[in-house]
Amino acid sequence: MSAAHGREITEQAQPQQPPLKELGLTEPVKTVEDKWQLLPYFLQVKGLVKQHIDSFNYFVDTDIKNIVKANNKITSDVDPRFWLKYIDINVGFPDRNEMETVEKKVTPHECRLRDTTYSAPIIVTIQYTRGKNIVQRNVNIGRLPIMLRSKKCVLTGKSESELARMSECPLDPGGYFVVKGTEKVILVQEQLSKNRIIVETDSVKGVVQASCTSSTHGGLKSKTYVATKKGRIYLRHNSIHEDVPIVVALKALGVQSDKEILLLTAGNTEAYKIAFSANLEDAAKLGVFTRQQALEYIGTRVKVNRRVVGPRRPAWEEALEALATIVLAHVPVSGLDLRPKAIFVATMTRRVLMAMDDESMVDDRDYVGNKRLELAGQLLALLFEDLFKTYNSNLKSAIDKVLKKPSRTTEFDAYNTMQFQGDHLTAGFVRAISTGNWSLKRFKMERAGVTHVLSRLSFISALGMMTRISSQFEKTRKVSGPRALQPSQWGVLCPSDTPEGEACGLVKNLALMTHITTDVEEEPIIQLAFMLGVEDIRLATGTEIYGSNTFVVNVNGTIIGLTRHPTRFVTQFRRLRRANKFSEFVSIYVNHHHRAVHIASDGGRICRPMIIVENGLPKVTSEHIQLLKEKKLVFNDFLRKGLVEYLDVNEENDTYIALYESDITLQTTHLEIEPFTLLGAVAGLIPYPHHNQSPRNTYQCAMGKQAIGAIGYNQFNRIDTLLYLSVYPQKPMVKTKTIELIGYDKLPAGQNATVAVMSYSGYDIEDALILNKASLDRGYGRCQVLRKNATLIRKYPNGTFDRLADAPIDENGVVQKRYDIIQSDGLAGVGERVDPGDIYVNKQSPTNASDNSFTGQAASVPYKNTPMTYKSPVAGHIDKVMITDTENEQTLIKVLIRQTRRPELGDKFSSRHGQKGVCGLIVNQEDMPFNDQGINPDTIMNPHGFPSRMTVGKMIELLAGKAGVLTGKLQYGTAFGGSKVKTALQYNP
Amino acid sequence: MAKDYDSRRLVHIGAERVSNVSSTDFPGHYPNEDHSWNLQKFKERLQVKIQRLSNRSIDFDLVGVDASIANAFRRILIAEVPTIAIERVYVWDNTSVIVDEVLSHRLGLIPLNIDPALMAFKSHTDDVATDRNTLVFNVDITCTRNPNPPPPKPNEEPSPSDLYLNHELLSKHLVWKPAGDQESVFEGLSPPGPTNPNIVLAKLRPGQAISMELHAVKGVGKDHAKFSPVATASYRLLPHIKITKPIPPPLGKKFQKCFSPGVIKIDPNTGEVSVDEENVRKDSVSREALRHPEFADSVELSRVRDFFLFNIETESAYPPERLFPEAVRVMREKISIIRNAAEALKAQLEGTTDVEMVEA
Amino acid sequence: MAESIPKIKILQGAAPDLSAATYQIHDESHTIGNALRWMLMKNRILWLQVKIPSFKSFVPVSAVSSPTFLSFLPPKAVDSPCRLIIKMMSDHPFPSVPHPSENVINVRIQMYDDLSSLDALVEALGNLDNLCESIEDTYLEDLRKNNHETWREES
Repeated sequence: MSAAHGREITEQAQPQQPPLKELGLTEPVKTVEDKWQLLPYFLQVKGLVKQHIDSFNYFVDTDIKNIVKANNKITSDVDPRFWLKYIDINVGFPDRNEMETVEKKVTPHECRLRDTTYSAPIIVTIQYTRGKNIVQRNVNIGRLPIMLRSKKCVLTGKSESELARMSECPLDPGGYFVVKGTEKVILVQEQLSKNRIIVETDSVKGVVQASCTSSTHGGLKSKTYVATKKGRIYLRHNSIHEDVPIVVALKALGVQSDKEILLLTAGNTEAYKIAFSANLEDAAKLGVFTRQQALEYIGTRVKVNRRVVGPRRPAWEEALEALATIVLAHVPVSGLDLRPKAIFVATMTRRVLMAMDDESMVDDRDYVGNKRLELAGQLLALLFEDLFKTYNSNLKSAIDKVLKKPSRTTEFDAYNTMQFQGDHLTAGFVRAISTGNWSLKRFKMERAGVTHVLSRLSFISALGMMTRISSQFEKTRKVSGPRALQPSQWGVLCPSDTPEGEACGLVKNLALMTHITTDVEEEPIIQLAFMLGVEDIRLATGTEIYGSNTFVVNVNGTIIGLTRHPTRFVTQFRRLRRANKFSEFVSIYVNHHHRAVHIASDGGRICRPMIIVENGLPKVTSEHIQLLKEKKLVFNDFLRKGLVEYLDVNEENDTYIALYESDITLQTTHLEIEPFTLLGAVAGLIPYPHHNQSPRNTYQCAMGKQAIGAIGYNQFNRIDTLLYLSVYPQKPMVKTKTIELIGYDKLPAGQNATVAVMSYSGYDIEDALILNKASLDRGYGRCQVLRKNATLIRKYPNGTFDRLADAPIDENGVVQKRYDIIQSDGLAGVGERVDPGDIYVNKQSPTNASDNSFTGQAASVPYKNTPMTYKSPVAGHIDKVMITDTENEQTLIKVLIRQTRRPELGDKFSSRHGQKGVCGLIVNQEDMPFNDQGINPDTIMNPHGFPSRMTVGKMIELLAGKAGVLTGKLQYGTAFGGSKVKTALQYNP
Repeated sequence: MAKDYDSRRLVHIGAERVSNVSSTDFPGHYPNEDHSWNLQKFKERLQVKIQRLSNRSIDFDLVGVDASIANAFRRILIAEVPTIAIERVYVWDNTSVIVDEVLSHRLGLIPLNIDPALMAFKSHTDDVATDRNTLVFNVDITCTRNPNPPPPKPNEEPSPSDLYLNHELLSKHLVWKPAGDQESVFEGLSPPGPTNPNIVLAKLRPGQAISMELHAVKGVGKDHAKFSPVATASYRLLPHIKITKPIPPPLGKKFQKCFSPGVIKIDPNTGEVSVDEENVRKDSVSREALRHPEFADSVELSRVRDFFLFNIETESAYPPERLFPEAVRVMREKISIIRNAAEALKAQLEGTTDVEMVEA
Repeated sequence: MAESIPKIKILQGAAPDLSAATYQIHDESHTIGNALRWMLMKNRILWLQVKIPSFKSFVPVSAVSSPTFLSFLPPKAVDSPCRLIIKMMSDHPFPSVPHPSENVINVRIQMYDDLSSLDALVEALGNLDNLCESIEDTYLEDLRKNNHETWREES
């Protein structure tokens, strides 16, 4: 029940408000108030699940090639002349993995129906030695599940009618996988950003620590700490047994002089110098003065990975290797020049000193700018890397095995070996996605529940799942920080849409207008920074680094240089970005506390577009919007022309954003495109949410996903385990702009009802509702439940097989009642009614199916009945019967059974304001209250639901809804806007 | 001058409450007044005046009865005046997108033009269908492509009605199959069918077909709303507006806007504000006047407790003017059944001293 | 099954002479219940004059399901405040539907001077029939006069 105060009127005028996509071009655009028009065009380009698709595309196009490049050579330990090299890797388009099929193309819907995986072959180009020749060939090494609507999907770029021919819904967002017939989503994972320094304090233990999780493309991940212990500062790392005094660490990194150490860490600040001096004494006490001594000191404490071969190396060598490759692995080391790493450690130390001196200098872990989102593409990349490495080592040992044989009859061809490698990659992908267990020993990754079955309860629940973000925090821990609403999540994460209970605040949802970045190559960015006057950090000493007007320039957490004119540098950098000289998703901002400029080009940052304001004037004008409407401009043109830019959460801190055009002052740098985009897709369905008590909106976000309605245009072609459909769904009387943008008005879940807010009969206390029996008779709240029943007609290893039999006849020559819907093929007829206990698939199995010693005639074996019996206590109807083959050539039968239900006592109804209730009584129409016009309500709601819940938005929806019914126009209840109460009240018949 | 009603007949309407709701015309309520039942007195007070009549609706006034009586008729109109509707659907073929149950439900809701007086009730739902209690209709429709579609117009989606034949199942596709002596019973009357021929029941596309047999029976609205003969059957009480203090002419327009259009008239010459007694029934009694302090004590709003403005709309076989007598007939039938039962009970108890009581 | 249910039955708690009794009418709703109530209250014997009934006659009332909260009142002196409540309650033989899912209506009638409530019921039904007849006649007469506005409505 959408509790709009609307009445079903048969000859109700067609809604006058045209859908916004067809808004007339004739109407004038007066102010840039129509700037929200940018939003539909943004979604046209980006879509609601673009983040998933973008990240998958990035994986398939770029990342997968990088991974192969990093692991591109296989050699043999047996034959030194043999080598195999991967030249290239490509992912094809999804096809049917069956030998004898002529038509190879496959649609996602076929995979859903046939319980197969929607996947495409991975083809590598290899070069290898065959005898004395070098051969190049293409080999299929496995199959990759393809994300729907990604670049590799057959649905991409198809028109509505083409999609209809493929039984696909044009409103379906895609972004999920079809694995073994089930739709699986890889949820977005939230993590603390990599390669950045985070300073924290523990006031109980009096510990200050700076930590940095390094992550490189090689897949190495390690965490380095610089922490205080009893007033001294130490370097801590997993690969070193005990904490290393910071001065020893710095000396080992090549900063030998105490003076320089002091300059690099404490600089000229007296307080820091005092705090740090004890550390210098400690190093002296330990007798560490030179780099060699420091390396020896560390070397004895390094955890050594014992290698079987080779002689034992001296301690200092072990220490040097650990420091160069494992500790802070993300900082580039070229030719054993550890200077950048030393500066990085020194910076960490300085941050610790700053936090020791001033409590407020610590970082906030929960700040959205310190978070990165990990998407399907990244997770698949990790999985692929792991599988590919295993594949290669398997291949290597297989090759070794062959090469070891002293006398071979034919010339060894590695291609043949590759053909016999089995489906390690295919199986690995399918297993990971269908179980959701990402257990990659190689990367110390052990995650369960990464994937979820896409909930098809309603269109909204499917959509809500695609924007969901799950946090890595433990649900059981009682910490409020990660769960609390963060001011920095404004505009990027929905403030309302989070579950109640244990996952509260840990599971979040993206706001409407967000974009998640993918990796952008940082080398050109660094070059650009140098071109803009940044001085290389390797040339700097402590005096310069902490000079009174120098700012450190960081790219993705690595210190690259210094600038003396941060404002000019940042402005120029931004100007170049607005001129499209490099990716629009590279962000830059100044951190005045740390006296640093941070440039970020890494993936997983959340950003959103904003209108640029210069000299108090927004750069987007009415003319631009006009051109947009005339389709002479697209959203990307706005980026290209430098009218709109993407800001990530960190860069937002450097801006002064006006919410409305009228708020613009000379200091304003940006203008919001539309305030309602701070809500997500699910919260966007609530009319007038800005008038509701905030928890009600949160309740509604959980409940909107349960509403029964339309699932998709292909809902009648689907065979889901359980599908609820509304018989007569209606678009809401009071809609929102979000509703139109996400297509909820085309796939609605709910009905407009005439609601009386009054007490009636006492069967409506405690949130119970009264329903009008006549309304139910006329189809109000009617729904269909479709349930899948599947069985395999199997072929057994011993040659026997299952069979379908027609209905047996008893001694009187009559078919028993429970067999009466079975037709001669042994299946129930479509459209027949199934009563409880009826048989709808008359399957018979051989009695000796598991007897592997059986060698007789398969046709002559005795059979036993293994029928499918209808178990529900309520009769249903056969909706569909499907017979098909699975991937392993077994016959699969799916029978869809439908029940049509009308509301009854105890059924749950809800408005769109977190106001749910169960039906307490169904009342005859003549017993219902009526008004002067003779109108009876469909539903009576108890007025006690209002005072304590304060859902004023619901009351406004009632008014707007009624005004809409009387004027024959749909109303808007968009957040921070919508139809005014005053207009609703001024309706005059 | 405004028409005045006995204050006992008025339901007072205040800004935030309604008072004097219950009727008081009972013996003993007022000392030394006889309010006991008197048919003669009742007849004197009773007025019925038909105001408007169309082919589909009727408005009439029923004055001088208690709400319990008026309400009884309203309730009977909705729930107990019988009509004919499709109750059973035998589906031979249905390949349309509308599934059998939903299509059957939609068929059931079609108003049929059959006079219920010509049919008998089935005494039990599982009774055998006879020509007295059941009418049979057939639906047989197959959608095909139009062999000669009109030439497509540029920039326009071709309409389904051009492209296909029989692309909609409409209520007019119901074909009556007379059985027994039904042919003679319905002779001279319009053949049984839907009152509206253009109700869309299902949409079809080439290759889809519907073939069904429909059985229509007599029933009442309390069993299923499809048997209810009325679209709206309701009444409201006559509004009564009394201006107690003259409205100053400058405020006249504002006062007028507090009521439904036409209710308040302003003398064009004197500016005197008065209630138009002809049109007072148009008022929606919104109480807007009471919200304004300047009018709050100048006007008394009320409704006349025993003045019922009935409105009945119908889409059924009954002409609207026949519905009310039909309701009275049903009422009297009920009364006679109970009276017979009560008299039987009385006769049964006569002579016995022990009253047989039943557990509640 | 249908045959075994009588149209009217007398519920427990009736006085032996039927001066007070609750009648349960099967397959009826407020349609008849409320109209009957009104007509019963119009009965001159029932309430020709206001009498304060002795408390004793109300005791059996507690056993029935109709206006029952009488039973919660302790017996008090005739002029105690609760007398008023009693009077108000007993004044109105409210017909009640015991539970919305039950297709019955209960009518409780209490008589003065030990008159039979069943007689009052029969009489009320007769009066109600007369009332209906006269309404129908008046309606048909006005319809015959044909001085109403007629118009056409498209359906």
